[in-house]
Amino acid sequence: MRVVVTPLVETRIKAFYDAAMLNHPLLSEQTVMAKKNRLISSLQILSITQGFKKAQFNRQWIANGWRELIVEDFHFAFEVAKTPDGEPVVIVRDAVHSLLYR
Amino acid sequence: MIELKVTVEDEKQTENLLQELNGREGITAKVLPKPYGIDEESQSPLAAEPASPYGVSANVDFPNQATHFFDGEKLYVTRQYYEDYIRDMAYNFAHPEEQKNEPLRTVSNEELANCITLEKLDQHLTERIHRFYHPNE
Repeated sequence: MRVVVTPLVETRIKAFYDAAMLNHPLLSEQTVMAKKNRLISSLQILSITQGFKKAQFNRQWIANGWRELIVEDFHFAFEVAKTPDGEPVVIVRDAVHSLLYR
Repeated sequence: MIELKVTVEDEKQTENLLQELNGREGITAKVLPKPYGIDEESQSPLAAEPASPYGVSANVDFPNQATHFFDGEKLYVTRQYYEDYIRDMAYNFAHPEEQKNEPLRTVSNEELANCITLEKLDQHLTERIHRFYHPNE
């Protein structure tokens, strides 16, 4: 199943990396890249399964019926939908760091 | 550390569950031995572990980040939530039929065109990180 992310998700992840790299100058490029690779790999898991529970805390996520994927300290909200051609697709709708999760 | 044991009878589901769980930091999942032998009285199969007739076991060693979602005022996500999340996920793997009937919303081509693939996301992030550490290139 194809996995895509919304512009909001990309913006949120970029904001996280910008803040992390600016606020933690001792982080090496290798460490940051490794974290990025783990995030991407974990999102790829969504292509093979729907075995994730519905979101339970974020009101918007609950209202939309989105499911939730937790990767280390990131929370992702995603929806399994279908294209006009009937092809199932996973759309990652939102992302937030755990410390900002509400 | 908690131990999860879930019923997974289908081989493909077992494979998917193991792949999913073992791909997560701090989790080690393994397939439990299959039931062996026959109980002579009841003629039912004997489980390798009689008290735990399950297919997959996973040991979860939680990362520290999962324990401190507290900002001094509100508790956002607790360790228990994370444990429940992993447990429910394992349950969902074992009971895929409970999710099959959920109708899928149809998204428009325009909405999809706004989204990017994981490959693109990876590329954009890689470029951004590289630029940060090598601003003069």
